[in-house]
Amino acid sequence: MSDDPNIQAEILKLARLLHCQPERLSYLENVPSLEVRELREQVTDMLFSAHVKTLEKLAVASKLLPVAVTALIAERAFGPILTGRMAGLIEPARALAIAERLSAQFLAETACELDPRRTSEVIAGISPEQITEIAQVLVARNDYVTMGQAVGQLSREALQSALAVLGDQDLLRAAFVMDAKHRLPELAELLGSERLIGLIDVAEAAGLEDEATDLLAHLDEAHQAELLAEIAARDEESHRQVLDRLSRIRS
Amino acid sequence: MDALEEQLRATPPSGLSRLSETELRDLVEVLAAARHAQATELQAAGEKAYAQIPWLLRGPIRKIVS
Repeated sequence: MSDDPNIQAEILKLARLLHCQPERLSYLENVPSLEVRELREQVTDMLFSAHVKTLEKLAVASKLLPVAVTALIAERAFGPILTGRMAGLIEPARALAIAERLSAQFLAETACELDPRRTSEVIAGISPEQITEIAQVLVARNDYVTMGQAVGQLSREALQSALAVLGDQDLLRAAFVMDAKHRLPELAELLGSERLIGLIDVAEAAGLEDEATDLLAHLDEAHQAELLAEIAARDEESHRQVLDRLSRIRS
Repeated sequence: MDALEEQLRATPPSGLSRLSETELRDLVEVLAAARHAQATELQAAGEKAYAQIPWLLRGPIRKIVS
């Protein structure tokens, strides 16, 4: 078993993309997580470029249809996989107009099938209200992978709205599988110190120390020092594991 | 690794050379199955979509797609 804390998350994301059980890919545990991530990006390119000519023709043809009819076809005929593939081929303003007419349930299912690199403009344009509804569906499905992959593309307002509907454990799990870890400091800022310290309490109780340590390790040094001081001033004993790990990372 | 490279149409990460022949074969099978499932879904969705299109537009749309 690998001691790379990110490997399980990478295997989970690849399995999701390939629509197979993560256990089937367990042999990837001994491959460095960065290389499994590289493989996932190659598989994404493979799947998104397969049949691209047909999908491009469908995208052109869809311009002849009113937005409402295209939304209806997406939900009733295309389904989440093809809608996800097409989202990156349609002009973002039109894709957003279509998304406005889709149910949160369908958008959540489609979000699992998106390549955030190809649809960043569309994801960033979805309203905070709709993001909140989608986040609620994803939370109910325990779908941390999709949440984590989409976070990097969300507007600050949408991110703030989504954070409000995520429980502490959901948040730790989603942050752990985020692709765009460079946004973790912004996420931490939106959460505020009180909730961040609360997350550490939750992490230790729920066995999510790896997740909490990863979140804290991505904060800038000043923010880490501020949190450590605040935790130490409270009850250092109850945060011992995370504090020890974080101290090791910082030393 | 050759079969994997052919499936991916890219050079696989070097760390995958740690996998056994059986594991590599399984990975190639999973990739091929995902491609096949996507193709099947695309074909079925195309037919289903026509039923939702207003009949006046079916001709022009069929022309673009075919």
